[in-house]
Amino acid sequence: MSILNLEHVSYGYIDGNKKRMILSDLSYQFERGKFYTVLGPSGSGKTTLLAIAGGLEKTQEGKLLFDGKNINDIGLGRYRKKYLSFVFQQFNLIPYLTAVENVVNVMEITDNKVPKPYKETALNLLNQFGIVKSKAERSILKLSGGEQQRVAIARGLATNVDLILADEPSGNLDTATEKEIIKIFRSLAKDYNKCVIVVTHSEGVSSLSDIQLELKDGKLIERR
Amino acid sequence: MYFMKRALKYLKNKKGKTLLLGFIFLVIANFVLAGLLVQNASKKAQEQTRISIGADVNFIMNWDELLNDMNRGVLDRDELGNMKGEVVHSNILSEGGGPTYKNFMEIVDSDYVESYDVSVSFEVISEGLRQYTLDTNSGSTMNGNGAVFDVKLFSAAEPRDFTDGTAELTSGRFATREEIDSGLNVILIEENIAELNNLRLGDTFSVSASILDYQNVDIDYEIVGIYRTFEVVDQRMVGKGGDSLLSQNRFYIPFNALQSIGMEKSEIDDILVTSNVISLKDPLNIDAFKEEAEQKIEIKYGRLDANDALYNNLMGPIESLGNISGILVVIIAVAGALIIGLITALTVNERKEEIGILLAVGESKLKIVSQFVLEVTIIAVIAFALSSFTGSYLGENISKAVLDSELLETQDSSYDGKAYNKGSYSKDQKNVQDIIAKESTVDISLNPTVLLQLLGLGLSLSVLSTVIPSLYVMRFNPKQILTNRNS
Ligand SMILES: Nc1ncnc2c1ncn2[C@@H]1O[C@H](COP(=O)(O)OP(=O)(O)OP(=O)(O)O)[C@@H](O)[C@H]1O
Ligand SMILES: [Mg+2]
Repeated sequence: MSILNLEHVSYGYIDGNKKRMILSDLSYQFERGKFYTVLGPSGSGKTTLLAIAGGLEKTQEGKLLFDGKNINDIGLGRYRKKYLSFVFQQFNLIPYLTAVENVVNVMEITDNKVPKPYKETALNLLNQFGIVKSKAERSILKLSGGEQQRVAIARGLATNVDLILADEPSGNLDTATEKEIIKIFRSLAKDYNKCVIVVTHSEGVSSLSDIQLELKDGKLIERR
Repeated sequence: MYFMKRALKYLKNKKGKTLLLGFIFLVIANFVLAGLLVQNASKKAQEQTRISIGADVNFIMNWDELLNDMNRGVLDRDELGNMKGEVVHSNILSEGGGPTYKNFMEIVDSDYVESYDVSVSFEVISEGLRQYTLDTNSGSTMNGNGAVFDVKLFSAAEPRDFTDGTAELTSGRFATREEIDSGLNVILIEENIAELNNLRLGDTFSVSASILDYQNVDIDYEIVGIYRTFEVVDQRMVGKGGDSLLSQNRFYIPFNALQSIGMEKSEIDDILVTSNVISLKDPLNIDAFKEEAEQKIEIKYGRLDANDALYNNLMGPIESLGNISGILVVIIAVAGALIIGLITALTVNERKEEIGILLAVGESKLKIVSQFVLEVTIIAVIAFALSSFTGSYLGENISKAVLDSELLETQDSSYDGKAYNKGSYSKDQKNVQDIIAKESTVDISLNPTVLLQLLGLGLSLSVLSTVIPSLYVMRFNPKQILTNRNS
């Protein structure tokens, strides 16, 4: 069964006195174990789509099913808390907490079944993503952009969720780091059976995904 | 409950902001505390003064009202009844709430009252008895048809003169409650009179009374008690007024004995009892007692006086000081809340990313708000706790300085004597010097009440000042975290 099912989703902004549709009657089914990328020109509505998929915004028409359940029935707050995690382009982490505290923070908030003590689990997780203990206990402001993104991804995994949404997660990174991050996303889909949806401008990134989607005229089209 | 940890981490990480807020809170707390202490000190001084002045209230005539009504023609002088003579009774005064026996008894029927006494004096003549006199050579002066004695009626089980030490019972007893109420003819006489006339307990003797326009009435009295007087009467007064003014020549008779002289119950009710005292259980109840009395009867031609003039004279400036410091506390608190609110409102803008992240990972808005409030509260509590050291020092000095200077001023003005009530019980009045001495020992140090007030203020300050940031969080649209950043 699909993990995330968008059914006839429409969304538009009021522009002056008429409504401009960004998403119109969009339907698509996302599966577990797959790495999706979403391409599209600037202003095409990629971020809007991600906001709706991640429960940050309500659909105006149509509905979203997570594992067959309408997310409005789950409750948007609870949906965000328990079932998915976001990775943003930047500002993923709380600046006055260390890397490991950032991870523990979401564990505490989400309260999913994660082995305790949380701190140890978090340190192990970070270690898997190449953040050693000395770095993990540093203020995140003293980590590089790539390291910060890895912490953000580790944080996304810490809560044991199956859906990972990322909005241009490698936009600020150099090519080498970008490749590394994408590799992690691939592995999340392949090795951990997660559903990973990444919004990107980069054809290079897109070419590494399982399914390349393009947002066009308010609809998602598979390229391959 | 990780939001608490986040709050602590935030404070630790943002030392600059924490210290700034802490400093502002400390300044506010010191002012607030000083204000509270001054307010507290003045309240205590007021209570202390009340206690020092005493719990006695006098039910006196309100001459101003009476004369006013007479001048306006509302009240006819003739209607007032017989205002001459020794025992005065007036129905109009009774109905106008004047200090008549009936009104008095109604007022003292109160839970606030510890004890009371009224005394009415008049003269009686006794043909058989010898008067006490200071002039030992001439012996007693027989006044033609008998010696003149002073009668003092009392209504308390133990007359006031005995409770305050003016007189002392040397043998026998006081009148019982029944005797007082039924007006039995029992009498207390002074030991000198007893000796002069060879009278003992249980003896009876006859006096002739003539009050108002009544016929002379001869009444037999049974001696139930013999007392010794300590009252010293001015010689010049005795010279003018005669030996009956000497306190030795005084008989104590229960109030209702007037009935046996021939007064009607209704007339007794209307007797003016301007010489009276009402002792309350607690001096701090004076205002409540007055209010209660006003509700029972409309006290127009009377007035309940608790040495108010003296009290106001002493307390006026201190009271206004207390009020001013109360207002100051409010102003400082409001201004403080505004400043701190502004600071937190400014910083919330730089924290919108954080709010977005927290919302995106599913933290509830309530917990985010709680974190903000907690951060400010922690700073406030620490600052206010610190201020209890500095503020108490500050407040103590301010209060002392102010109380001292106010008292110096009032000391002179309260000696003009006007502040004293001129009832027959004026010997009860405490010395002004006394009151002042007690007052300057008012304790201005920190007490639990002030600490609680301070804590409450600190907490409400921190909640108040985070209202704006909280509103911001509550209205925060989580999608902002995505859109603002990518554009
Ligand atoms: N709150 C808003 N009110 C009105 N219009 C909006 C609002 N947010 C976004 N838009 C518009 O909706 C369209 C889609 O925005 P969105 O952010 O989804 O684009 P995007 O595909 O993510 O673009 P980019 O690649 O530049 O990030 C844009 O034209 C944008 O101007
Ligand atoms: Mg975008």
